[in-house]
Amino acid sequence: MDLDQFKTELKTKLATDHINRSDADIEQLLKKKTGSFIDKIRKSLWFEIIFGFLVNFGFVYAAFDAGMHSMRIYFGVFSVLMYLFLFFLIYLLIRTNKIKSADQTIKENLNSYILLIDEFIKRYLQLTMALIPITLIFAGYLGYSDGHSDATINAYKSGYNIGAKMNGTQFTIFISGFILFLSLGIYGMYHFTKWYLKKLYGNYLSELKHCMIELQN
Amino acid sequence: MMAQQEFVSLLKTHQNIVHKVCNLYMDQHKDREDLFQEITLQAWKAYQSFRGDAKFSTWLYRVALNTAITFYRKEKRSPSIYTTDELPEMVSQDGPDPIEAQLKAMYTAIGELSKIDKAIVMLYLEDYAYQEIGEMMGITANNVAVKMNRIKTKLKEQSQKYMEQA
Repeated sequence: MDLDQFKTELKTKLATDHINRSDADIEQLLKKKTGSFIDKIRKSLWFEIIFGFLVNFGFVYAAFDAGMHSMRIYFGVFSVLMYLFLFFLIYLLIRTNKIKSADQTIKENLNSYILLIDEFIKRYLQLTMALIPITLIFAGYLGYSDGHSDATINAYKSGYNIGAKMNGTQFTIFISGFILFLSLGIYGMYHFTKWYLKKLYGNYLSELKHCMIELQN
Repeated sequence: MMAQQEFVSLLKTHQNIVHKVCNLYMDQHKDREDLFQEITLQAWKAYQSFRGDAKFSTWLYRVALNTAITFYRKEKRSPSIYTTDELPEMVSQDGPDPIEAQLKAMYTAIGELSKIDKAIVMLYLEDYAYQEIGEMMGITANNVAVKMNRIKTKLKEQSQKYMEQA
């Protein structure tokens, strides 16, 4: 039993089992939205860019308006970092738009999908992870260096400062616990983000890579 | 607007190509409908860059296969196994037709090939030369020949297995 033996029959079989579409049906289909993976990424990028810009307006406002000196520096630096992140998202969006055409060879098409999704996952993870320690360490440092300002002293007096109510040993234990908690939080956040990105894009990416390997062998 | 009318007319004439790809890659009716829609949209997007260097049918095959290979299904339906229940009844008045049974076994075996192998088989069934298949896939004609031999052997073994089971 050979494939060539059934060539004509198989061709006929594949061409049956469907209803022919009219001009109106096809025109109707053209009005619908595409559901490709690249479009999913494109939509996600658009959302993040718009949301990021809106949130960053708040950061910039806080950078100029916050009462404490450290808060102004913190929001100022954070908004600069956010803008860098947003420019990176715009760069990814431009790259995504460049591969919207599906009339390349199958190998080229697979390759552009793989490169784009790979880069999207990699950079997204790197930038998200970079923001956490920068935010925490920078916030801690600025809070410490701003410790003698009037605003901070007022905050101490109003009872917000936990450390002011502890003795030396208690404070050391508190700080050690806090550092441990932060480290575990960062570690957990790293693995959670990695897992979440894999869940969203990883399986699909593996499938594409598998196709690519098969095509090259 | 003229371009859209032109595209709709061309797609209507060549819609068999899209149906074939949908039937080959999807075993559920709903998935075939989704893939048909996606191929139509991707072809329309790519049509702006279609300059007529290749025949429309060849170009459409490339777009349809690219879309089918990278098609993303949100929810997993049943596993992609071609059930013989979906094929037309092959029992005639004189009992089961052996040719029909073999055809059914071969069809089932094709349905279980990988996405890449399905694309090669599809183009092979359409009588494209190895050189042309290679150009569409982005590999050499020699590579296509090697793959095709491998696929034929696999299909022979698999379809025989299905025949024995039947």
